[in-house]
Amino acid sequence: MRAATPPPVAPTGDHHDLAIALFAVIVLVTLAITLLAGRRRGGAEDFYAGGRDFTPLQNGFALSGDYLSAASFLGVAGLIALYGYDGVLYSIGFLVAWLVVLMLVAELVRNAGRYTLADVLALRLRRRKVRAAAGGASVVVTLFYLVAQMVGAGSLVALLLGTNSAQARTWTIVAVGGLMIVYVTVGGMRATTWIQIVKAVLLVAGSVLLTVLLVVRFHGDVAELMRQAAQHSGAGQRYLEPGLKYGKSFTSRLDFFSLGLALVLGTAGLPHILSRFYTVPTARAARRSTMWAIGLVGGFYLMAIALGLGATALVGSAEVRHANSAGNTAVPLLALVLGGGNGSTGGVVLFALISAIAFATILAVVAGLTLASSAAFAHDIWAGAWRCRPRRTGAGRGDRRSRARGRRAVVPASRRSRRAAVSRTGGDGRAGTGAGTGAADGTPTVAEREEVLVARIAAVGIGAVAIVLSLFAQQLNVAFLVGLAFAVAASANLPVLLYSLFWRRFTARGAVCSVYGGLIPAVVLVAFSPVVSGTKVALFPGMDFHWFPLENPGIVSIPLGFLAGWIGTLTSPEPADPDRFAELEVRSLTGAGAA
Amino acid sequence: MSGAESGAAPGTVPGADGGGTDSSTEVYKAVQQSAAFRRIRHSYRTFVFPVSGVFLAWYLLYVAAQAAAPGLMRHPVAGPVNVAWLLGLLQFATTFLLTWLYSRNARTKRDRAALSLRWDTQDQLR
Repeated sequence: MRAATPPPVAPTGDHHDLAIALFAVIVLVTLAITLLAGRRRGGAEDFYAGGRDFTPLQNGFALSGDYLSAASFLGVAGLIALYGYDGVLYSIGFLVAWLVVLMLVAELVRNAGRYTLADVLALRLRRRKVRAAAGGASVVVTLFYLVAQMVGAGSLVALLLGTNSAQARTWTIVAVGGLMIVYVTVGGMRATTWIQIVKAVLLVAGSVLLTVLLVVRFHGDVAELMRQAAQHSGAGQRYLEPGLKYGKSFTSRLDFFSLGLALVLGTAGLPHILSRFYTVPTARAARRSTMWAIGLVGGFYLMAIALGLGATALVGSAEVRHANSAGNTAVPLLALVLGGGNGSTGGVVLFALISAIAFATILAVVAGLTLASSAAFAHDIWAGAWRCRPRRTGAGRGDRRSRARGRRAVVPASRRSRRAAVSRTGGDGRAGTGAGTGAADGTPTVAEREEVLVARIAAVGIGAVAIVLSLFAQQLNVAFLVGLAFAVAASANLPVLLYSLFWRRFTARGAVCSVYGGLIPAVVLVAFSPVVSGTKVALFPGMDFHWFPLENPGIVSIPLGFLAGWIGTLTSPEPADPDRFAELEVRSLTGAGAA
Repeated sequence: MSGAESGAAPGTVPGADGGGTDSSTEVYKAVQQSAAFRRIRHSYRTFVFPVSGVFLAWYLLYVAAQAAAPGLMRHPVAGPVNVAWLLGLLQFATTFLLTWLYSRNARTKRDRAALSLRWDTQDQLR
């Protein structure tokens, strides 16, 4: 996303005063939510899973809030405004992906895990390196996604506020990063979920309002809307046909197929989406929240298509592109026109309102991502893999024992102090479930408090890393970064998750191979793609070391992830443990022993 | 652990500090072999596996058609709507339809049996 010249029909002066005031209101409201939610300082269950007492409706809104990032709200509508039908393709991939989540992942993950994706794997593959690999992949995915959102936030907020200086963008990124650190460290999952809910309600309400105004404007004649959009797109009939963006060559078509594959398979591997299923009490509630999310996301994208067409019909593709080369301001510009045009009170209010909703969207999504990332770090890498590492010191303390078969991890020292009955899933050193449940009386244990503290510190650290990376990545295209995050999630997280849930013979070695076999090709292929070097819009425009022709690595790296898991399992020195799979199968399908 | 779920909490299942102690492993193995569990797994898999294959194939064919058959996709259907738009809107429709079908299948064929098996299993683990 590049800096753009001031939009010609965008408002100036007092228009932005109102937007700034509304931005301030949103910051105050979200901080109030955070403080209210943060007053209840509980244990790990509160911090990671918000106490697990959200309703399916609430979680459905929170899921769609997590999913509909600014890249969706402004980005998809903007792509439709610029490229017509090819933009619609994006939205369909984002929606169909939810069927994978609904049918193959949501309920089973809710039943078998506690806080993170790696919990599900750890239930049957009790190895520290499995947990470390899955936790590491989750951190990488969320970091990519986080950088995408923050880069978008920087240019977007600056644009909405009417300044385009590099300084304004930089300060926006720092401010958004600071806010998200506060939300997560102070409020944990409870605050993050409520922020998502508020944001999703605002987003849906704003979209409905604009869509109704648009439909009224065209007297309900959708065909007329499409015709006018084609007319004002500068491309004529081709605007309504495939190929305007992805039709130039065979490579670009293949690139789109690669992106489509990453979109449809990536959602089910996104850590911040998976961790949402732990905020409801049962698998049935997880299913119902996914259904709510599908309804909300689907309805939203239908409206986004209409709004994208409306922006082209009423504002014009040229104007939209002039305001922002990626089309990100199409919806606010449409709001200005629908409200009565530049200079009218209605236009000003509507423009400020939609801008504020976009701002709330950015804040909510980065908070959700930071939380998922810090959970993966603290729960999987620190508590699950690092703290559980076999140590020679302290062997005299307590009844350290290896697990039945010596190959499993050793019970960590800090956990041995806990009563045996406290946590049967957490206390077995299965490259553990980390903080596990709290003590029976509800007070967090020492180990648990320690882990939550690490998670809070990790949130600060990850937030800081994301801010720095975003400042360097400001020239990168946001849609590309999001597509990349989906590709990494689909390559590294989804194969291992599906194999663990459904393949009887899957082994720990297969799991490790699957994660790295998807993660490494995905990242390497991107490093040698035209995105990093060799083109004018690349990260290093002056250099050219690319040899991989596609921008999105999904078509290669996703099959590699599946293949690596398969080969790793076949070459395992020891066979899969049928007892562990029996436990996973029974627990994931019935919910027995679920957290 | 909030009180509401403590009845189902793993913390209340004693004798299973390891989760892998022999008794709990035996319980899980026995449940896995039971007819009730096989029925649940059967009704889950016979719905989910074929349907996932179908919707993934349908989506990927649709995406591939943009590249492979642009002429067909351009073919007008009604007014400004061409085959590409029609198929795209059908993707929305099938997504909503399959969501509803899946939920109906789970509600009528699985939920009740799974819940009673859950309590049974947890009783045996006790």
